[in-house]
Amino acid sequence: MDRMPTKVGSLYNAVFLAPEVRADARVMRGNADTSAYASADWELVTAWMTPKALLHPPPDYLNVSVQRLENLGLTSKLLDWYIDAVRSHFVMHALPAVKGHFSDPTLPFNLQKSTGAVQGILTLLCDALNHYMHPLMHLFHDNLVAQARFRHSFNAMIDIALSEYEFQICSLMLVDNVLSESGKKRSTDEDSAEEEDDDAMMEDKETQRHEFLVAFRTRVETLGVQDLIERTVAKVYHFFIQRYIHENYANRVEREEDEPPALTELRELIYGPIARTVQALVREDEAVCERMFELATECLARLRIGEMFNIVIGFPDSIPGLEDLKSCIKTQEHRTQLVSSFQASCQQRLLHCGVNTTDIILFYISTIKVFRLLDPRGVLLDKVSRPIRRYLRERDDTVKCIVNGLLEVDDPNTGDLSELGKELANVSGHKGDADDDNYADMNWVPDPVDAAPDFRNQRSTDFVGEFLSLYENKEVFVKEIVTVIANRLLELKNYEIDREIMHLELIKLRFGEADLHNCDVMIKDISESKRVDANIHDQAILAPGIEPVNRVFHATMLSRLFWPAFKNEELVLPPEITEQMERYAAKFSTLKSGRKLSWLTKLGSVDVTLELEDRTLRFSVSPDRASMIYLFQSSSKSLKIPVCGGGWTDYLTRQRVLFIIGTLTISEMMQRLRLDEATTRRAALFWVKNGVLKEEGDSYVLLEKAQESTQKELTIRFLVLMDETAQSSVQTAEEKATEEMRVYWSYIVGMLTNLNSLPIDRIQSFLKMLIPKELGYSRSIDELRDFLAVMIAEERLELAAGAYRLRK
Amino acid sequence: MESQNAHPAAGYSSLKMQDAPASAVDGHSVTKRLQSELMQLMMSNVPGISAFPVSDSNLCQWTGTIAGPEGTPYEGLTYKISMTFPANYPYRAPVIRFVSPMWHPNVDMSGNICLDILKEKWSAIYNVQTILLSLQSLLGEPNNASPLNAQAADQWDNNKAEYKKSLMAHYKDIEELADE
Repeated sequence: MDRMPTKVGSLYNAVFLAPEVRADARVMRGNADTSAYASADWELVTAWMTPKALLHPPPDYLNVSVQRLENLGLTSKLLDWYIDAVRSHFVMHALPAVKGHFSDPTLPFNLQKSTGAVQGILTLLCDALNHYMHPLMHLFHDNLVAQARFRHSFNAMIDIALSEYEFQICSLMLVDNVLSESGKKRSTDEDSAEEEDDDAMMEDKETQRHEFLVAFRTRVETLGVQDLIERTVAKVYHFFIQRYIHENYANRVEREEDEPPALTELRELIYGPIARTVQALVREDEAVCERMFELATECLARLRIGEMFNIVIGFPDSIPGLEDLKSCIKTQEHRTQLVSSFQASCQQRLLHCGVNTTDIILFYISTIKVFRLLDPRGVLLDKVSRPIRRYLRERDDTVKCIVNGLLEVDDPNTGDLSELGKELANVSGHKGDADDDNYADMNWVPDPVDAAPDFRNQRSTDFVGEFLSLYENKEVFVKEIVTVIANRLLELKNYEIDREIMHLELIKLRFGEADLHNCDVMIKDISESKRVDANIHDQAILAPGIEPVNRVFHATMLSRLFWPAFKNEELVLPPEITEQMERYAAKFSTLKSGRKLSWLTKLGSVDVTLELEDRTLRFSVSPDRASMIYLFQSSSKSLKIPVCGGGWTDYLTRQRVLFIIGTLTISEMMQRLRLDEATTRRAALFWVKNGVLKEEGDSYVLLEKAQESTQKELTIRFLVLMDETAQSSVQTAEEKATEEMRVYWSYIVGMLTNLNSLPIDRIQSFLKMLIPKELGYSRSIDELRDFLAVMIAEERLELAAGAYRLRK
Repeated sequence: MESQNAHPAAGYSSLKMQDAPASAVDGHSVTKRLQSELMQLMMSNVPGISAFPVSDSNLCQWTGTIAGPEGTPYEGLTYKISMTFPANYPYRAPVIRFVSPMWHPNVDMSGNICLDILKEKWSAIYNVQTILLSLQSLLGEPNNASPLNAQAADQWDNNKAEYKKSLMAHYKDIEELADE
């Protein structure tokens, strides 16, 4: 290689100095012998062909020489020589010039310079090509084989020149800029729509850009490096569209009404400006657009799949985002990815102890709606909801929240789940269990391939159904529902049962009549009570010897067996009330001979009017609270007028009083009301909160005059005691569970006493079989195992070789 | 007493029913009755007596445990019994047998028991709990007028120390019994 440049250089100089003279000399020699001619011709032709700065048309005699060399079969040799010469020249001159464009170190960071460099290099190479082709075009005008051979080796040189790292960067920048320009066009159009000058300028710019592109492409085609540019365009497009989609659509799942779906927008963009640009750069081909659009779809799908959790949270505002996703999701891979990514987000953001059960339920409702829209077959929903359902089952208050939602209970602890109640009322949505065995269904299709083996087809059930199928049996819900309905019926004041009947009817549609039979009786009790109560107050059927009952005193008669167990707590009521109760009971016995009322003094509600020195307050409170405030009234000076109410032991005490007893301690109140400390404190705090009492050490003082400060002082304490509203007069499910476990335990003791030792599955099946249905045994084997583990810890059981036995 | 023990359905054709009473009554009510009796037994939790079905598939076969009452030779000992309920229970008495070897005037060596309420004086008002209580009291107060085990009856009347000795010679602990 060392030798070559010098040789070429000397030839170059020799020829360059006096080509004309030499040529003449050769011609004058005339007809010497062939080999001598050949050598002379060779020298003559090569001298002319050697690359040089100025291009001349070949002199006439040269054609003769070429012809003679051709006759001697030296054409191919001549071409070899020429390719060699061009290669040397290219390395010597063109390559350094190409590299010269990259001497600026700021180049890769400067768009203008990069564009300049790419253009410069392409121009340079085009010039070089023209230059090198010049001799061939003249001497081998008809010899296409020769031309092709030359182009082939020249292409190798171009490849070397363009494989420079810098060139690649620069061309990437150039193409990227071109694509971004076309992507941006839409928005700039909108911004400058008002100004015509701008429009003209834009148009001008557009034309310029197009011209630039055409020039660029012409050069590329001249050089035959379309493949290279195509690769670059593909690479750039890939990044471009990803960036474009992230910039324009990430976290934008909501849309204005007149805005088209993302996919339509993308299609317009790709088939419009981008297609024009790419076609200007590469070639005109419909398939390219198709491929580019596919890529964009894929990219959008990935974006939205990652955003699924937010889509569910934002539902229903996020419907446009959901529609994007729906139109993008095409492959099985997408579906799998969607499921796993959504499950991962749920695990991370939802299913941990920091989230309220209510929020999880609301999220689950949205999940159901979203995935129903996305995949009406429900396969995806089935998959993504499994972890959520599993988690919900672990939560203690799930049932309570759901039932409160269904019955639209307004409970600050469970939050607003009235959506469940509304859906429940939407009877038309519920078409009963899906009937998969309907052979006449001509629209039947098999479950999709990605359905889980135990996938249940539940198209026709609404989301309430999803919640009710959370547990293996519906009994857990029934128990809670009965409790809630019982509580609500007890709170009624006017025997108004229409709302409860409506709820009960709706609930029955889901749960069936049988399980809710008790509720029917409960409701009937209330309506019966209304009638009996009216009779008792009816002066016409006045029983002899019994004073009439005050008109504001009402009672509810309950059929004890059909109501949930009541907490049997005692409460001492004011004597005025007790007197009314006795009269009421006496009248009842005359109306229903042979039956006797037994009072549940803690249930019911009281309307109280407090007339204090500077203010009159009205409350509707529970009997224990009313009795407590009554303690503060001076018995000697009060006008005792029990007044209105409704419910079990409803009465109202109208306290037209001079409060003389100003101070009472907790223990005094406990003693006089016969309440436990917790209840007493809670009741006292209620009055403190309402500014009637004031806490002083362990005593409570009546505030005849309102005090402003009391409110603020106590705010924090009330936050702690906010759960007071959750106090239920009926045994809660939790209390019931403890009691049930006690029953189960006696069965377990029984079986282990008589059968010595048993494995856990035998114990489970015994309990399942032997415990009567009224009591119901619905524990899973895991719950049983937990319970037995507690018993082992308490040293009442021992576990040996997989079997449990009693400890002696 | 007789009419009380007749199945109500069999009331007017008692002659016919007598031959095949067991099969004629449906098993469901027996199961239900036994289930509620079990519940009652479990809930009342009387010390010293206990019984439980042998398997969850057949409620008519129970096994029971009776602790010897205090102040009797049986104090501190525990006996196992088997109870088999007929299909027309409670209109027929259950068949009850001591599984543990028993030394008692009214119990023979194969565990058969001679107790009037399990035979001719059976009534539908009795239940598992009353049977167990009767058996428990039988341990302390044998009916020596009609003994199945004459030797035991003799010892009970004349030589309590000898009685206790024979008793202990025959006694087998529940644990050993279970191992066999």
